[in-house]
Amino acid sequence: MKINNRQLFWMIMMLEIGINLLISMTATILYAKQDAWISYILAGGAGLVITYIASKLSSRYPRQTLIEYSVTILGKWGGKLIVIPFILQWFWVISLILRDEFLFIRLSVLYKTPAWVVIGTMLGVVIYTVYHGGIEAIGRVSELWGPILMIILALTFALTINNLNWPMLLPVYADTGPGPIMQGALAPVSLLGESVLLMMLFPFVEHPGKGTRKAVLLGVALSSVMLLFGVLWVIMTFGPAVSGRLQFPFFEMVKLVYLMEFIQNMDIFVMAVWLVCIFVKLSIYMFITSYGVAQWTGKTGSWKKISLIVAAVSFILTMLVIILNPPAGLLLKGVWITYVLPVNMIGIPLFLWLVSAVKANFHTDIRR
Amino acid sequence: MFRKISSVFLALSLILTGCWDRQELNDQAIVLGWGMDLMENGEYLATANLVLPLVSKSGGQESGGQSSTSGFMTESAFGKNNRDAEQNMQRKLSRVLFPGHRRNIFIGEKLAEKGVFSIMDEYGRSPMVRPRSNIFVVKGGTAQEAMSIAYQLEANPAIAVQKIQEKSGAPISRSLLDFFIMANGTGCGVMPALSIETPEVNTDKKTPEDSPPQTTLSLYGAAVFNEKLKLAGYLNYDEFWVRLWITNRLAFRNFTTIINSIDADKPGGAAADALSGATRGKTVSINVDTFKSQITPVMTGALPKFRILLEGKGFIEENNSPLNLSRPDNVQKVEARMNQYLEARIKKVLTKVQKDFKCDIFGFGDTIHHRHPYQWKKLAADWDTIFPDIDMDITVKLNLTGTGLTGQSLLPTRDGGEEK
Repeated sequence: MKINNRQLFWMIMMLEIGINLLISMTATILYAKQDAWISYILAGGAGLVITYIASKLSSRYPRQTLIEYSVTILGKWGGKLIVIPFILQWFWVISLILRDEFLFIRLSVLYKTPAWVVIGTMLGVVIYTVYHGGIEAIGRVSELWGPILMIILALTFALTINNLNWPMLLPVYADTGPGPIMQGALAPVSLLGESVLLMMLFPFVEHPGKGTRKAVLLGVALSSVMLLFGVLWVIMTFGPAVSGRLQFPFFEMVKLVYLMEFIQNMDIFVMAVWLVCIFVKLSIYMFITSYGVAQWTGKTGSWKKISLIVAAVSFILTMLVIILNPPAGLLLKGVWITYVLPVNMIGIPLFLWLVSAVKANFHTDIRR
Repeated sequence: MFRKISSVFLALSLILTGCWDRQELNDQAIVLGWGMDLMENGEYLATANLVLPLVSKSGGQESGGQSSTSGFMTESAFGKNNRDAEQNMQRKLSRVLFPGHRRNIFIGEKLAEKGVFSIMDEYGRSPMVRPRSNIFVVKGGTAQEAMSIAYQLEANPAIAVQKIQEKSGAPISRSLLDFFIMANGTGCGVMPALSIETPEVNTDKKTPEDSPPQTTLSLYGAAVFNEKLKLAGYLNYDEFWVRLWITNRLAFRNFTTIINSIDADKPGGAAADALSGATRGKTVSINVDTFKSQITPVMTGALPKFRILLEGKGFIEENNSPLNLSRPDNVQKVEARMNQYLEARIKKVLTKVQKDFKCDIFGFGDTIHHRHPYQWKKLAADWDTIFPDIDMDITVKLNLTGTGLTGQSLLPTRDGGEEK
């Protein structure tokens, strides 16, 4: 199972764009209003920093996943304990993305189809890919669909250009100020920061090294740019007040495409590539969860069997989330931004990096 | 093993998915238009314009002679709101109401006067409906009256009003979205207004084949809503373009004014001539198809002022005045006269909106907000009381680039004209 740098680039990009387009925009525009684009620039920068730290850390142990090198760095007990938040996060992400996907599908296309069918079919395809193809299949799917996603997004931006009204972006900064802009940036940062899962993917890359770091950083950068365009377009189409109230402003914007009578209803294309994005994201998470749990329990060889268990658990968890129906805003703000962002994306990687750097210095000191 | 199981599941998913949402076309009543009226007793009356499935595909075999059946039907029901009325309407329908093509919404005048706040939420909330929709106020009538009229050129009156709106020079099919955006801006809103018009002159039908003008639907202009989203008044067909030009949305428009003399210093009579109600005489018509507007707030002094520069590019389409248009200076006279006329006309409409409606439908407040955000914070709260008294300085600059196929008219020179 090997992927190359280009495949990793497309994987990261699809992973970042899909869910961000759906859920982060409203949260950001609600705080930062017409300055949401500044938030997205800040978020892109912060996302790059987070990715850089994680990839630097992984570069120190190019043949090991996070689960392995945390043990190398902190010893058996410390290493196993410190990755528990990650394993929790992965299960959490899978079930929440599935829930969001279900909600969106139900709102847009399938109004009456029961939840278990929508989730079950998606999970079925995901587990099929992960079980049979592993990370290699996911990499190839991304390589194929990534450019298509780019083309569809570019087409969307081009076709909606006549709906844009640039004075909607004014006044810049005066209505909001640094507080709301930073607060608005939190949601996209916390989603862009998901690139830290590269710590699990690093050893699967053919020649992990500087090129890999570059690919990942480029992936995050390009997706930030796409999201920046997306939020600019949304604000210029609907204005800050209306787009802050729409649940999925980006997709409402796509529905507005109306050119020469016959170019209409573009949303079905965007929806299709978006579903592929979600599929790629879920597959990556499914893979690293299965592989991570397998390594964590010390049975790396049987990760395929574990993936079936992971799928079953995620299915149950998702149904639970759907039944309990916690508000999406609360989950994003109350859990994701308050715990996952500082702990999993910043805290632990930075801590591991520091310890590993100190240790390395210590060793060289002793050797001297 | 796994392969077998998964293939079974994949096959199952192909068969099973979609079943729950299956809706045969034969079981759908496609809604093209939706109307809401307020009754005397406070209940809402909803009217749906439905496609008649059998008639709409005619034209093939059964097209012998004029069929008396129309291509649409309307159904109505009382209800507490849109959804409630829809459910009540379903009692009378053998097919499920399908609002996916509901592109036109009609609001009765009574309901508009009482305020549209109580019914408009659904138009933005329902996931079945596309955001590109038209919303109309029916001036002097109910939504049901307007929706019941058989429109001759189109199979369906809902399609007819949509097409009429597209030909008015206003942005196409986004009046609902624009209403939401405007209501979130300075708080006022504008919707296009329809009216039911009887023929100007009644002509008798002498033989059964005659087709004199009938009562029909027409675009009246625009309905203005105040910040409580209640109807404040109408701008008629000769007034509503002013808002579109000032807000940079007008696509095309013809203008006609009267030119009396060819005196070099005074191009034509006073501007008041054209506004006085004179409808015939020595008229000139131009067609303008490129519009530009620039609003500059001037923040010196206690109250803000606005400098409004309106530019347009067009050509002369009709000239019944003695002016010889083959001479460039005469074209300039038409330009100057037209500028004068339009300035007076626009001023009149602005004053009407300021004094009668007291709502800032032109987005003047927004320009202060955009250009002088910190000063706007002090003004925003009282904007509705400040707006009626602010001064506007309007400048119209037309650029006429052509005179049509002839310079000088093909008709011989008339009184007051030049020999060459």
